[in-house]
Amino acid sequence: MKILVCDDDEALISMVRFKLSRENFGEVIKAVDGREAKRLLEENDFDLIISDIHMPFHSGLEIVTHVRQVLKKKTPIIILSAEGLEETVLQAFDIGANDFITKPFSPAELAIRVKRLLNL
Amino acid sequence: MNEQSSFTAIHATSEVRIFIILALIFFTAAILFVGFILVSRFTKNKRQEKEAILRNYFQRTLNAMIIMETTSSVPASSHVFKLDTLRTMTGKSSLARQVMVNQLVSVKKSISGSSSKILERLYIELDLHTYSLGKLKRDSWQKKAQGIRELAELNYQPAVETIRTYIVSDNRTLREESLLALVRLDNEGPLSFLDQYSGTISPWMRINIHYHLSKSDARKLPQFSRWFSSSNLDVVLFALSMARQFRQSSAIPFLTALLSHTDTRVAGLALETISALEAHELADGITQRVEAFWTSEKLSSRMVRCLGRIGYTSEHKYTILRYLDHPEYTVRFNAVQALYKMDDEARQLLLDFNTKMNGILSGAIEHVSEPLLQ
Repeated sequence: MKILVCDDDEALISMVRFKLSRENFGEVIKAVDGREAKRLLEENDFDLIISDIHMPFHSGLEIVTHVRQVLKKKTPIIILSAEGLEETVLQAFDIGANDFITKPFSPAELAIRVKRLLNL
Repeated sequence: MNEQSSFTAIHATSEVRIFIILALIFFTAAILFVGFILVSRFTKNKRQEKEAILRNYFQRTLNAMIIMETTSSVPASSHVFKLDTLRTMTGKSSLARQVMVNQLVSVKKSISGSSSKILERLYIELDLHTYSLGKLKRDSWQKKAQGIRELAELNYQPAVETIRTYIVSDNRTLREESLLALVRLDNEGPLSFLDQYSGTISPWMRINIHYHLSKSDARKLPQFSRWFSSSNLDVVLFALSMARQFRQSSAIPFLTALLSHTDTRVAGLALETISALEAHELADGITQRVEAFWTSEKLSSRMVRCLGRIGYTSEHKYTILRYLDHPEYTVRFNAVQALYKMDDEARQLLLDFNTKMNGILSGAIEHVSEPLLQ
């Protein structure tokens, strides 16, 4: 199983990767900005994508649009964001995100949501 | 002739000597300057490398401590070992202490729940709170502000009283940092400092305070109306703005009095708050201020918008109708908009008035009736 985690916060990526690997979710690959995320998405097939909204070059919402409309993939996507505004959440779901988690979040909760989306 | 040439030669020699000495001084200074730049760049690079190594190590240890502790039963010896290692490392240098604090703050911003509590506990167990408190004794205000922010981010509540002393600081940044820290740390009364506060509240502070309050338990929010009678105008404006943001209907009975406030900003914000809280019961009280507000474009506009939202159509449409004749276009436009949205009868009143006045409001009516602009 392959999971892509996109966030410009290295500390957060490190924590999420550690948590997901401890839960035996398989290989966790990181992208520190939107451009790297897009490149990795074009070169690989992922089983799940976890992405922050605010990232350099391309936002998390642009990543969702890219996956759904350009790559035409149905890969489950979880959006992580410090911004819990109703319109942002609605917009994320509207363009095809499968889940939305507001920062700060509990790593345990993230693991449960990942498990649910991966049908494990 | 010979004497003159030897004099010129001696003179020339001394000039050359001075030139050579100056050149040497300049050359040495240039070498020292370049050397200084190279050494400082080398030191900076070394420091950054060291920082990256420490950050990486601390992050891995933190991951292990947080994730393992919250998911499985880890032997106490493992925790003690990790803690001892971290303690030894952070005890060695201030760079290591600062990197560790930065990591704790950075991770804490993204995680919540029991994991977040582990970070707060580590901050104390590694004695890093003493390090942050030590910064408050430094002369530099930047260090003091950094210390205050670290204590607040890592929720070190015993520092409340120490931080409180900075709310009267002459330095604006220190004052603002300490106020924000108190909002986060003082669980008993996060805004109790407002009782005696005589300084200003900048928009930046207002946004930050609102952000932190919105993350706390709504039931623990103070009654903002208690500061409506403050002698500090900034405090009154802040309290009004928070009452509106948090939709505190308990503030409604105190709002009418603020319409008579000597400062027009307070009266204007009170009108907006009444409107946002949909305090229909205050509509009659508002109409009593029509004459007083008439000459102010801003207040009249707000009055009309407010009445349009909370007024009873049968009674207050006639008050709004008066504003169709207001000297200011903005006010007339707001009145057109309010009447147009009220009900069919109010709309008819508007159209009749327009006909009577030879269509002077036709442009505004066309604008408000355009569906794309609704």
